[in-house]
Amino acid sequence: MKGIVKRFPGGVIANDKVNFDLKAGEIHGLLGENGAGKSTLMNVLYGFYQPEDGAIEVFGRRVHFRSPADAIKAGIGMVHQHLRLVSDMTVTENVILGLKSPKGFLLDLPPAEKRVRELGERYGLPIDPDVEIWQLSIGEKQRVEILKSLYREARILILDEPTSVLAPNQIKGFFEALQNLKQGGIAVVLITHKLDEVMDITDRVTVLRGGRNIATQPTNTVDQKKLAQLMIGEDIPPMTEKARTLTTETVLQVTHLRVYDDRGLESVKNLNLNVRKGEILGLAGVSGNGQRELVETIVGLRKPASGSVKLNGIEISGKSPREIIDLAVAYVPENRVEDGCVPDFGIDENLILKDFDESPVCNMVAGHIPTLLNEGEIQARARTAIADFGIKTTGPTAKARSLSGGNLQRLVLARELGGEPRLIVISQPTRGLDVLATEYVRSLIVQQRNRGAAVLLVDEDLAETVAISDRLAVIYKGEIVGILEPNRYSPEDIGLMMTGVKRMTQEA
Amino acid sequence: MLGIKFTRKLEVSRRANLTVTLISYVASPLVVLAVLAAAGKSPAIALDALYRGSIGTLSGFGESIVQATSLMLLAVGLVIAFRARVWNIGAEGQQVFGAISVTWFTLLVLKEPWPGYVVIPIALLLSFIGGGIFAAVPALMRSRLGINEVITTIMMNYLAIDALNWLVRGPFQDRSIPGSYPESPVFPNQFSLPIILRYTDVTIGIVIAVVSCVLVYYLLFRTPLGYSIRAVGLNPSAARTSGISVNHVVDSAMILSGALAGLGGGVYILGIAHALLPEQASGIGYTAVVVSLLGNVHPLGVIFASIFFGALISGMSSVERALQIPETLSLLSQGVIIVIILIIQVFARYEIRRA
Amino acid sequence: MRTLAVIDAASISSLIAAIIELSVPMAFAALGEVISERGGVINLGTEGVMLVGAISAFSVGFFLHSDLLGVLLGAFAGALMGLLLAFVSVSLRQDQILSGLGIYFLGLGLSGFLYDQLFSNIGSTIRIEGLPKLSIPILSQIPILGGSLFSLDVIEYSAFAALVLVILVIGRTTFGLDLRAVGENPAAADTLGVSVTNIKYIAVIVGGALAGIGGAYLAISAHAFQAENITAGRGFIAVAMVYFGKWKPARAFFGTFLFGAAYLLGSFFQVVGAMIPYYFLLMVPYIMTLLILVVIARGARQPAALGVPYTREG
Repeated sequence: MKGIVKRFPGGVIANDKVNFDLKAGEIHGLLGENGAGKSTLMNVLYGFYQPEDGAIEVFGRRVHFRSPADAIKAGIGMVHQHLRLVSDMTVTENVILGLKSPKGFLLDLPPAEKRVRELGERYGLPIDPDVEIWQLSIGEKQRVEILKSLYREARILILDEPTSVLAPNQIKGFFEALQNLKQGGIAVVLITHKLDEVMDITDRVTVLRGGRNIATQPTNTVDQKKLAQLMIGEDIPPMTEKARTLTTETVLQVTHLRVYDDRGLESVKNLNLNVRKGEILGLAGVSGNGQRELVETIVGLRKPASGSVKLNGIEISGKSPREIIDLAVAYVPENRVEDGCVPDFGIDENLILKDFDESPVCNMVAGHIPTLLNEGEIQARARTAIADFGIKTTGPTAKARSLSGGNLQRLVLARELGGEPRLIVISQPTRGLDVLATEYVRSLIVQQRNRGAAVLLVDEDLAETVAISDRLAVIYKGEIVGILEPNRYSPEDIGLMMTGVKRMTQEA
Repeated sequence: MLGIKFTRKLEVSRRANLTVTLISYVASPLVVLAVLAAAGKSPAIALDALYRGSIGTLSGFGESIVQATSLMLLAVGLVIAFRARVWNIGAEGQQVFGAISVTWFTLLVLKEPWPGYVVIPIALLLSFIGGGIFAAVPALMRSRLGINEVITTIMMNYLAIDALNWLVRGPFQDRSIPGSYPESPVFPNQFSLPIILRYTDVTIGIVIAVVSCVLVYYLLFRTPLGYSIRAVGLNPSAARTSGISVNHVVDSAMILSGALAGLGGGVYILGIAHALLPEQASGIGYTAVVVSLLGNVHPLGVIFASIFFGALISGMSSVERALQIPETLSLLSQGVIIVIILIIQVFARYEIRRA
Repeated sequence: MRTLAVIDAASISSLIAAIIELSVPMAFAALGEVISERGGVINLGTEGVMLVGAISAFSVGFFLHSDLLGVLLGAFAGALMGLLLAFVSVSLRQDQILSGLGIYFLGLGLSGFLYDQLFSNIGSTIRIEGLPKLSIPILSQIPILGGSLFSLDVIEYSAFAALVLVILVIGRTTFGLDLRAVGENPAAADTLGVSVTNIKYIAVIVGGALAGIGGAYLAISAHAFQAENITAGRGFIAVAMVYFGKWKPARAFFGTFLFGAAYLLGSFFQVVGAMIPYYFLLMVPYIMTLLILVVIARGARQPAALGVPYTREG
């Protein structure tokens, strides 16, 4: 790939004249932070996006992919982060989707099933072809995605953050499968932001930063520190003791919590944790270990099966989101656009999302009964928020849809942090944000904690979590397997706990 | 497809919306003329009849306003529902039920000498409540059971029509006249809405309709309930996360929508029909959906859209009479206009470029 | 109280025959709607499509004296309406509910208008011949059921054949696989090279054609045409039956028969002389549908991408 340029509406240049090459039978790591342009570049290769500029050659031939179908024909397969599987259909049906059937119009499943099973065994990705997708675990679903490409005789396989959904002990098996693929002559592009993976399994690594190719090196000529420097441009310090007033007042107390997910599976079992006033408790863990269900239960979007969630001694499990919000709990959801704002509302309207029927935003009669919205108050609040939180925008009535990721997060934070909440639950606060915005958000979180709020931080970015948390709770398969305090743990502990290998006895 | 790419615009400018709406307005009569030309009729006579029937004569103008009145009330109710993303296709049944409620009350107090300014407000209130109750059934089925409201409201429409047909041949039938007619007794005079434009059928109904639109405007854009309705319609997930009770909002939107439709039915029966007749189920509930769309799903836009559409309908009746063609012409023109509006509206919302 | 009229084999038989005749149009439309909705597109205008099918069949049946040709034209006209809907809701990504209603109005107006244009000058009786009933030997001798179930006309038999065909197509063909994928997860299909747009177009057009056949049969079985009244909401009911049947062809299909049976309850009681008002009984099928919807509400999973226009990012 030479000189690839990809722009998105809104002015973002995701790929800025990027060069990238791939050799047969190699595992090539594509490294970069969130938003560096890795997925975009590969989506261009896969034909999902059309580049504004640049050229692609595959096996020596110049190609122009108008859609993934073209790329597939050229022998390229891609496994996305968000799996593209049809839940109601079987594994085989998903694999043969879009392919011509030997029997013309009619489906011919038996030979296909056989081939799927064989491929699975050959490459160390065993799967039962008859099962329907919704019944599979996420690791198994991933296997199906890979089989889709293998079935189509892909010679190039692009994997987008494949280990983000795997538990650490599954990763080993996954890497073995990758080795099998490599031996089969297939070239693999591994998109990741995890340095240890790059070091473990790749032959070469390309680092992207800010949409540009910073470096391409054989893996054995670099180390993690160097890679980190290339990725970020600066070093990451380890967790330090933060200056703070030690309190023992517990704000959030979760005891023996059991929660079922949408599929009816137990995703949180016997979970105990607490967050004290004026502290940031970081929740570390591979995504999919119950974090989402835990967070949803705390903020009232989900009812637990059993157990208790207490806020300053008041039982809040089972309460509605409204009641919990009224108890001064703030929630910054991981999906800013889907859950955190109304994109077609203006900044002013978004800011009043939680208290639009209360004073002073709303005029009241007899102290209780809401009447009309107070436009003056609403505009004043919007102007203040824009100034205080540095939201770059054309004005208070600009639609939230027009804001960039960083500014949108500022908006959400402005709304959530406005009322001096006593508990703040934040999920993936800096996902997709640029460096400046990330800095700002982190400083805000620390500020709140200094003010005395209790903060529950759920973050995939382990470095970030370690950097700002006062204590670290590790979650594995729905339980807290360890609570770590600075200077009282060794770095391997985190990884081992996230894998479920090591456990600590916990105090409530 | 065809090498054309659609990208959702970041901000739909008001200007784009208005332009598109204006084009729709202009295109509509042109469509009518085109249809007529296709049927081999003289456009000159048609245009003249269209004009006189809609605004050119007093009776034509009056008829336009009368049509607009019912459309306005139903359409503005639909605006509330649609803003909450609740697809209320049941305006037809709700307005019929509103009329049924009024009839029930009228027959109850038929012999009482109560004056107009007492019975009329009560009757209208009952039509409002009746429509609301009728809409509550599909509302609850959606909010508590997750059943698609499109299906349930359509079922309720047929239920209402059958109930209407049964009532006018049964319990509500006028027994005082010889023969068996499917109609209720004619309402006594005090039950008629006062006429405000002499020599026409224009009653204070139009005033009620316009006032309702203004009230709905304030409701949607200045009250907390309206805010929550819009929030739920635009992003129910964020609304729920922020503590808004989506069920409560959906119920409210649907019930209010039905209440306004019921009121529309009440205004019609008290202002025009003066009795419960099978013609009460005229299909206006479906036309109102189109009118609310033409009004950009905005309460003030609906005022203009209803008047426009009312004029169009009235004009087309006049064309039918002048050219001696049956009323199906109106139906056809409406159909074509709707599809064209739907197509034109896309241009306001999307940027269209070559791929 | 009058004694109940004799309920014998013959009257039950004719009742069954009547139910089948009444329900077949809805059944065709429901099958078409299943295909369309499994592909992610809801067609609220089915009613209008049926009307267009009806007028097509009626015209051809009257002027060309061939009912079967009429059905063919009905299918074709229905397909055209489907094409229009596909264009507006798939290509233009206009809201499906509104587009469907637009189709409804268009069909309503077009059919009525055409009827007036073609038939207003013809003073005498405007009727078309129905189709002859074909009895299957041996099977039609079965008491009660035989006389009705196995003595149907060609279109009625086709309805059952169509059901089998639709089940096979959805479950066992590449098109069916593509269709299901497009309705559940269009991105998955798109990535693998399935043309989401093409599949949706085909689904909606086929749906329209089937609804058109249903409408054609309405005219044939009624021997006449009356705009607005001939369908009496049956197109909407077909859509309701798809939901009712949880998007499975057989369930939707037989759901329409259930509805038809409830509908004829009114006539049945009239024949039998009971004193229940006719229009009151007409409410029964709608109430029944609502009640059954309430009961089966739990666990109804609609195609995940139903009603959502598909746009590929970038």
